[in-house]
Amino acid sequence: MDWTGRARLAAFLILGGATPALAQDAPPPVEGGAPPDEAPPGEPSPSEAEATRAREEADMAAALQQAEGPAAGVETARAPASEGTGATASSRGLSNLLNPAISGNGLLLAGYSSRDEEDAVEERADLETGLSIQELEVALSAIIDPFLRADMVLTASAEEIGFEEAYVTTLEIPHLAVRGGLIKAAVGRHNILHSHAFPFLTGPLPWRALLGPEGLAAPGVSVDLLIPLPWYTELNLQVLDDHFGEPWAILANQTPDDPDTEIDESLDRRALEDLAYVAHLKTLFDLSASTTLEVGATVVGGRNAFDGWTSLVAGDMTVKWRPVAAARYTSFDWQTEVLWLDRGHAPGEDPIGGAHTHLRYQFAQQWWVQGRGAVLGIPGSKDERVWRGEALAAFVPDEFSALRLQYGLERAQAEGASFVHDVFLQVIFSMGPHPAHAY
Amino acid sequence: MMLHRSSLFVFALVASTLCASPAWAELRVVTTTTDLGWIAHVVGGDRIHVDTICAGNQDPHFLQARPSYMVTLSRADLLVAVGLELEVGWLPALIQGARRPAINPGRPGYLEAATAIQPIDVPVGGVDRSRGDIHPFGNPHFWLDPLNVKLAARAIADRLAQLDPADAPVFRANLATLNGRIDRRMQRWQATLAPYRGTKIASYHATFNYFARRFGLQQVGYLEDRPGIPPSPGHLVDLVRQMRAAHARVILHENFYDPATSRVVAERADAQVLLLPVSIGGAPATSSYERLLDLIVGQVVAALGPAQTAAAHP
Repeated sequence: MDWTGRARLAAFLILGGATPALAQDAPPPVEGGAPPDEAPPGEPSPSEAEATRAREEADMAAALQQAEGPAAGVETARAPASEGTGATASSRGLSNLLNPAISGNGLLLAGYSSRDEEDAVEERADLETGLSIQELEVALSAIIDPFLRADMVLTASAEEIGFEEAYVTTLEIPHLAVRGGLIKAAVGRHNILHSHAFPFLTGPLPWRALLGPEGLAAPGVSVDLLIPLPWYTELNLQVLDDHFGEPWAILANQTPDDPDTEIDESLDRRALEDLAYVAHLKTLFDLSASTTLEVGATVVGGRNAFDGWTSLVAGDMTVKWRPVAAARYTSFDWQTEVLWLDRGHAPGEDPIGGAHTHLRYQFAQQWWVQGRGAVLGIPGSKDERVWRGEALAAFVPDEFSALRLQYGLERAQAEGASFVHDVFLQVIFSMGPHPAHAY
Repeated sequence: MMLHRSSLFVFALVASTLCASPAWAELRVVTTTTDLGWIAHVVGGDRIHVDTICAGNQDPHFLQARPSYMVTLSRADLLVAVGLELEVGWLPALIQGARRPAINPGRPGYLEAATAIQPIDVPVGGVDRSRGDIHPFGNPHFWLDPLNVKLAARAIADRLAQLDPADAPVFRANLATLNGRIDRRMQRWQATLAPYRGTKIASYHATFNYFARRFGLQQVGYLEDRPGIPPSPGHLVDLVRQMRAAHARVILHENFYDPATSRVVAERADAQVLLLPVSIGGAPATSSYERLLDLIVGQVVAALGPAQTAAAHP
């Protein structure tokens, strides 16, 4: 049966089913009679009532099955034509009423970096001297139907517009949300953030260097299970196909030091074993009414273009403190993440790790001070480590804009212990409906 | 076909046994605020179990969507929220994270209590955020008007009865008890505040507007003129002038906001700052709605002084 036929059938069932029900609901008043809805003597026990209900549901399901036979009642179900009567804008499908919620974000950046232009690593999105539009983002969110919600995030840089995320989420499965579409890999805390929610102007150095400035995102499916325990425990299991757009650096045959390496098209991977698999476990404990501790662990695996197995292991820990009565004026959080990457069979490449830790302290309603330290190249030799420290002060007038000033100091041992300094000012603005913030 | 039908029947039977909560289990109700929690507790009695997300001394606008609340919500049969976008900054994230279809908005397990009341302070003209983080559908702080509490209680009782029809008579009887409790105290509160009708007051946020309207107090202005944004000195200077001109002697200040600004303004306007709880449990000895209103009414009257003084400045 085609869709029109189905719709007609549905209309028939609704109309046909509703009419007698309405008639039963409103019987003519009986003078001096007993109320029509009086329960019969000897009320059934709950289990009997449930059994009766189950029987009725089964009957109904069977009746529906039968009614789906070809042409049953379809002709009689045709709705009367309503053209020319009370037409409104929505009659032409132009109503705004059910539009998705639209919000926009902009990140503007201005500053100076002492890094030589040729030393800047594009793949790492290092801050570069000048004025720039760091990112413009448009997000659309809507409840699709009783069963699905959809979210789309479009981002634009100077050169291109692309989707950062676009996925549907199930709403009606107990304990479980299944997301499908272009999604961010559930790696620790940082990878799932959009840039306007970054605690600092850029992602942590090891993350940018190892996962790429955009982090890990790809078309796939995410099964997010809320495990029924007394404390919050969520398990994310994801299957992702990194062959959409640029392959992930962790799976491609590029090496971080040599970003210009051509991607070998002959290694186009399409077998099941070539998908990337992500498992992430997140737990959160209430230490007190004002303090929480979150601990998470992530494993990412997939076959890389060197025909080896790439393993990425990450751990994260976050402590948040928000006083109960004065949460608007002061708060504190401390977050640490570690990351370890082994691209098996990658020629001349040893496993490499990185870590970052940051503190954020809100000392007044609109003011934050923050610091972050990051290292790339553990546990490898000292000579190859890169260190980066950042200090940031933020003025946040309200939830919809912020002005942030950041100083960064970076030291790459390999480059003859030279230091890179950078100072940048960032303006963030958000427009649109009030967002519900993730914790 | 018969086989098909009977297999469907078995499936439905198994499904209903697995999904339906047993008849003796109490309904698990989660409310966003303690005031709604109190109403649910009085109306539901021993037939329900009530959990509350936001503590009485916590600002319901700025709660964090802490995942542990998702765990609480994941077991709820009914979620009662204030509505009018009071919880917009955190509740949607909690509902989605709870993965509990029964409490999704649109289901019988989701109730916004503000749908039962007539909102005030609905912004007219263009709505944008130059006016701060405003509530575009009206003022959500309805619960300090006792008559609104009765309306919300009726909505909650109706919803409980819908979810648990067997206990509907209990809920209706409890609702009548709650109404009686409020009516009796209402007479006393009205009598106490009657001499102060028309007295001018100021407040930090627009939390006391329903209260002021019910008891005839007149709001001169707010310290926080644009919700969510600290007041500017210019605005405070204007407010001090307005308060002096109107002989407003009291600033009602929600006790989860920093009182420093209110104290500065009070000093210059020759007024007094009243640090008040605005929800049940927001201060010691506010364990019930009657006690909360007793405390607020008592403090307001004490601050305004003898009624004659108030009447001298009409």
